Amino acid sequence: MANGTCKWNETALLVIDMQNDFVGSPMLAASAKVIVPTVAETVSLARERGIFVIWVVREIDPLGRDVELFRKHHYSNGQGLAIKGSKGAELVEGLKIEEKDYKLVKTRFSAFFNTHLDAVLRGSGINRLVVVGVQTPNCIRQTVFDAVSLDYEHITVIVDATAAATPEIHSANIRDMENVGVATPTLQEWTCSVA
Amino acid sequence: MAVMLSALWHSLPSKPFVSFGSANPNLKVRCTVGIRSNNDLSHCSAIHLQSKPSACDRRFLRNNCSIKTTNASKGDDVSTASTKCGETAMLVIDMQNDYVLSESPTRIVGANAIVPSVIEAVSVAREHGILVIWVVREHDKQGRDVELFRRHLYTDGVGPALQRSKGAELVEGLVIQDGDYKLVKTRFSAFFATNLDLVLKSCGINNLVVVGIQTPNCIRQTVFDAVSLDYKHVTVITDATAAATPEIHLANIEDMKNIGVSTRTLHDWCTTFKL
Repeated sequence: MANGTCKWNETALLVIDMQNDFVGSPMLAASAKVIVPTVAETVSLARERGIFVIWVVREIDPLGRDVELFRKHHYSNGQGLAIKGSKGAELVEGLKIEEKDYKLVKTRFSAFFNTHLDAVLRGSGINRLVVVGVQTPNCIRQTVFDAVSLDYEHITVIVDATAAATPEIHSANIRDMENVGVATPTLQEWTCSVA
Repeated sequence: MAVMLSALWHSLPSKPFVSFGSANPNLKVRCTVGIRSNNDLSHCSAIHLQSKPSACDRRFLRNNCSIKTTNASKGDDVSTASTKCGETAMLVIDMQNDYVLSESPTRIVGANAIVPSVIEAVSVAREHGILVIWVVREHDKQGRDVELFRRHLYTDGVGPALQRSKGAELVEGLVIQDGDYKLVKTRFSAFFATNLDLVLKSCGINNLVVVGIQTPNCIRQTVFDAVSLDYKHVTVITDATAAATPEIHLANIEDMKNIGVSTRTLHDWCTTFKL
């Protein structure tokens, strides 16, 4: 749905951490697998609208040298989630990077932390963000709060295209994000929106 | 140990007091075996201070000595750092009138109740030589340095925590002392667009203890950034932090626990100093 007030050309969709090892992890699997079709549909709609699609992923050093301290112990003997070049680091089936999209590798929760994301967005005239992916209390929330701190004009989290370990954690985090001015529609509601 | 140290004390007077690399030129020590030319105290088994050490001095001594610390007063022997107080800072976040006082329209509902706990936490921190950092907002009258979604609060020269206003002052009972550090921030996280990380690293700080308000925003963002910045040990004191409701507070404490943050009551945290 497009009309003269749409700002899709000033909008980017951030698809966060939708990778095999995270979506399939024991902690998240139950809720994360469920959102894969919704994420795919959001990406498809975003492309139709001419929204800039950015795939935010982790591609972790096999020795864990670029992962948070509290997770380093997982990266011994070449084990560990989302290791660079591994199948676990690839996007889940159903999600595919296309030519006009952008891939951004991050090493911490927030897609803005120690990355050039802000420069990429500003350089493309983007000041509105839509966020989907996993997981709500960590990478989603940190990215969103950083976006608020960086004065992005309009930030949307699609509630049924994001997930946490439990519905309670998910809802509590959605509520906290609403309280700092973030929009939290379902995909259906966003489909009918102009923002 | 006390007997041995007092015996050493009596043997010390023949050695002169000397200054060494502390920032305080008035802090002089004499050491059982003398101080090497590079001001290295690490070999000393007993140290006698000429004057009462401040919190900064105790921190310096803990970082440079090899024996256990005690609270030192004039003439006492000082022992050092097998505690990590010298590597720890306490961040006291946004405990300002406009966010705490019950008559303020921008108050956080749970904030007033934690003021006594914050006062106590700061007192305990100082007692143990933990660096106290006061993190505050001091905003521009036109709101040019506040988040977009709050700008509407800043019209006609009024708004929360304006620079030089009474509302931006720390609540009664909280006082910045010599040796503390004050950091002004403009966003949720104390690390966001500030020099906090550099200040902490240059003081050799690896561990953080966080108190203040409000749990889902400034506390949480600071804590998550601290974890992202690889601070070794981050603690949130659960009854010296607050949110608008207990439910919001607890949900956020749980999320922080899930990323390796230690979440302790004030009483529990104080017991760590008795070990």
